[in-house]
Amino acid sequence: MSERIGHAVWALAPYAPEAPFRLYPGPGDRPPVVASNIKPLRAALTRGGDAEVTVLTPAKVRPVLVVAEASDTSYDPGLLVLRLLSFDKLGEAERAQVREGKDPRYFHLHPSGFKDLPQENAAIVSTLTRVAQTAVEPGSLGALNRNELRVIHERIAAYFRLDLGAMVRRMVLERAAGTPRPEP
Amino acid sequence: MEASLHTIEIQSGSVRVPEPVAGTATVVRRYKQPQAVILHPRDFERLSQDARLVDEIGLSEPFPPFTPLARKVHLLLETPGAEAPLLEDGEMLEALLAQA
Repeated sequence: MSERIGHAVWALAPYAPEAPFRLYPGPGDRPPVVASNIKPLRAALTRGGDAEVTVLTPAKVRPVLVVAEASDTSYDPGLLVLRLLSFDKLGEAERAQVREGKDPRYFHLHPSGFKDLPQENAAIVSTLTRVAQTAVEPGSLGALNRNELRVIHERIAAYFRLDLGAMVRRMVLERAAGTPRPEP
Repeated sequence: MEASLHTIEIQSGSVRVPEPVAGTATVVRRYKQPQAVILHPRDFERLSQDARLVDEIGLSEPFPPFTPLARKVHLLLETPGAEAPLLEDGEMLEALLAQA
């Protein structure tokens, strides 16, 4: 397991760009160019030579939980992270719900394992986001153990309805046939 | 890649098969190649159960519907500016960065 996976870290986590899109107009005093939705933007950019644009999208520096990284980080420096839900945003009854694990969307991060987080938190399974390594501050705010991370991976697969059936069946059949598996 | 077994049924009068024995698979060969396997119904049931089990592995439980808490958290975390003010003042940003 990579030294980052399972750790809470500070990161610049962007929101997903949503319409209307505000496009950076380049240096100068011009206000952002606004595209009302994806259709005119696609048409305009196709006419512009399949150009790319810089979208102004809000982002927040916040603690996140690193749940995965690419197999080859030298070519793909992206990390998959979950945003954290700070308990100071919740009422006492809501905090209790999250601590008791009544909703699988939230995975309570026990404060004893995350002593450097400013608040008690839960990882939000539905907020899977890709961030670059350079958008992550070095240093850990605490970490999950391997079993806790497995639970989170399972919940991510369930929330996003990832069909892992073919992979799991193949693994089971390979094990049944005695095919040795590579070391993780 | 489905593991479940498709089953067809034929009447015993239309084929001649040896008496199946529980725990034993009888392999029928043709030109040295396995052509069919005769199983005791109990063994076939176990094999079918195993195949169903393999099919079901990897299917995850559906998530429960949004609760009031989930709606509140979703709005809070997916709405820019809901958690904290949006800072879009260039001069203020530069001043704050200079102090960092």
